[in-house]
Amino acid sequence: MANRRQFLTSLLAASAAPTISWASVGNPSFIAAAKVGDDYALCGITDTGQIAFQVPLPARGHAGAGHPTKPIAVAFARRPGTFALVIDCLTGAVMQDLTAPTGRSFSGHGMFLDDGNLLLTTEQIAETSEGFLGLWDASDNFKRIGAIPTHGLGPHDVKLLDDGATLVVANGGIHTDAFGRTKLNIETMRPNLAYLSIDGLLDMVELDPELSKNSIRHLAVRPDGLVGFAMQWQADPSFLPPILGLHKRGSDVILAEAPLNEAFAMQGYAGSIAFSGDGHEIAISSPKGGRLHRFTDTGEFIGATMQTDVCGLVTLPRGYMTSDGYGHIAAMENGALRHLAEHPVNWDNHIIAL
Amino acid sequence: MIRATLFTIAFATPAAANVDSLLNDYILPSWDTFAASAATMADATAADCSPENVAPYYNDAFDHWLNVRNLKLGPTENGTLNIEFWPDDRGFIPRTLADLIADQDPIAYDADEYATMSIAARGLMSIEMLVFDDRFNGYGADDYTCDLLKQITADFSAEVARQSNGWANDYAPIMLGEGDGVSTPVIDEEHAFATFYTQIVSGLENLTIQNVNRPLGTFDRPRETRANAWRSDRALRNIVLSADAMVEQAHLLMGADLPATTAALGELHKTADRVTDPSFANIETDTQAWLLLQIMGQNVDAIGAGVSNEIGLVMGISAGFNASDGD
Repeated sequence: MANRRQFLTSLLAASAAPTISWASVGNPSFIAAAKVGDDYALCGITDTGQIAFQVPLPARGHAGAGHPTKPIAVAFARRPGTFALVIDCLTGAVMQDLTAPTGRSFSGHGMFLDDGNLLLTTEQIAETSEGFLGLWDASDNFKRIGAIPTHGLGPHDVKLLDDGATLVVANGGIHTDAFGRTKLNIETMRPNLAYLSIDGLLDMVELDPELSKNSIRHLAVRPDGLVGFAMQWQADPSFLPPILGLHKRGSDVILAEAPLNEAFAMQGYAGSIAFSGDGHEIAISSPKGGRLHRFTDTGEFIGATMQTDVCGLVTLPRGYMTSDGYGHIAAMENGALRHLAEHPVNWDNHIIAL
Repeated sequence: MIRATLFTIAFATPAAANVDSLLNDYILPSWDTFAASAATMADATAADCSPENVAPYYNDAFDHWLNVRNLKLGPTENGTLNIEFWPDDRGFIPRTLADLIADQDPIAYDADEYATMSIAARGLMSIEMLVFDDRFNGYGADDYTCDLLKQITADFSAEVARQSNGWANDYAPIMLGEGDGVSTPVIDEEHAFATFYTQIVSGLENLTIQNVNRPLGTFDRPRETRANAWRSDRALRNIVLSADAMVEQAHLLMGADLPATTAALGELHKTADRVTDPSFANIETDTQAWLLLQIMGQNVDAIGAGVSNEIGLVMGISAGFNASDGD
């Protein structure tokens, strides 16, 4: 492990000034996967909801990761990930076709670290769904350099806390079959929120056994270390489980509960999660419920906003940006949607900030 | 939970003008009588809140609700839970009622405020809890619980009236094609037909999923307290009356005999006649009772198949793209 730390340190020191920047592809602030007719694409999106660039994907994407400075994005396939493509957003060319080690598949999310020199990918062992963070040297043609266990099954999202050293992983807890999305362990699943350093596990949070079927899947982090986690209930949604949790290391988990009629409408499913621009509130989206829920940072329900088939959700300075399966992009401020743009695409699950 | 299935409409024959009949001869009168029964329960409770007095009015109101329960449209699309908050696996209803009673919460004396109360303390299932559950129904006429029950039944009456008026004044005209295209949508007959058809088909699906399969559990582990309205011994009745209602809706919508559907409903009645405990409490100990409930599920599914074949196939309405895939 010491080698890895030395390696990271050396990467930090070696980071070079980029020559081509995101400005050269229309200054996107976000990237998102989309279905375009019968084809799939990765798009760059500006602050005002315009498409800055659009490059083809070979199949349906889920999320992506953008290089912090260079116009390079990694597009992840839906689970079980058959591809993670490093894409030159200027030309659309696939720079690298990342291959997970034998017997592993990508889990849909990832991120760049260390000024873009390191790429992390969530992965799982195909047979067991045991989770790992794959490490790829972005400064050396995305060479595979190792992996860190996530200490859970079926990891999905990963985020870096503002200390620059602590990673938080959503271990969804679901064991899927080796080649598909069939869930094998719903009765015994134990999702967790794991805090990791490059050296290993720092902290792990599990919910009460009553909520063990609440798959922790997506994450949002605030600069002070507050982590929001969005969940997807794997049993009868009429149980009305909380599907948003808030946690800060050293404190108890807060489960955010909506009024019962609103909880019912969400159908036990949160698709995306984001803090508002000022960090005072947090929102989750439910495409199944056609709505967004906003909560205070202490878990009090603020209100619901309707948007049919909404899923994409990301922070904007004055609130949030949302996207839906009908091509709309909107800004949400104090719960009110303001139309930004409509594109002839179906936006897929997530909008990722660059 | 609501199963939302999207249907693609490709009418093989022109839609008959039966939406009019379904609405004017069945749905609106059913809401009228439901609202009347809710008002009667509120009046009766105000006069005498004792469980013995309220129970028959509660049962009457519940019977009327079942005539329209599957039609989660218009004012009822988001209003169903105000009338019947069920299932309640996490026990929100007893917890919320117990808190109100422990606090002697003055909201029981404020009708306007009560309309914003959590759905756990509104509607039929909270009335059932107070009237039929031993933890609550020992109250006297001078107790807070009596006042709370009066408020819940009054609030319930107002809520049913609100939804009934919404159907009559707003939603029915839209579904009859009277929308102006500005403040109300223009709905053509085929769309309206498919909308009601969908509500019948998904209503039957939900009847199996919720009212049969939830208490059925597994052979080794029946879950009798997951039955609908088991406290008031209505679990069986709610299945049969719901099925009766949906079959009647299907007949009116199609404006024709539906022999397979009718035969399947007959089978359900035959099975129901053999059930000895209307609350399903005995499915845990009596294998025969458990099997009968399982057969009732098959009977309800057969009704659904009848409706699909005798309406959906004939009219060229088929299940289409289902948007429910997540990650």
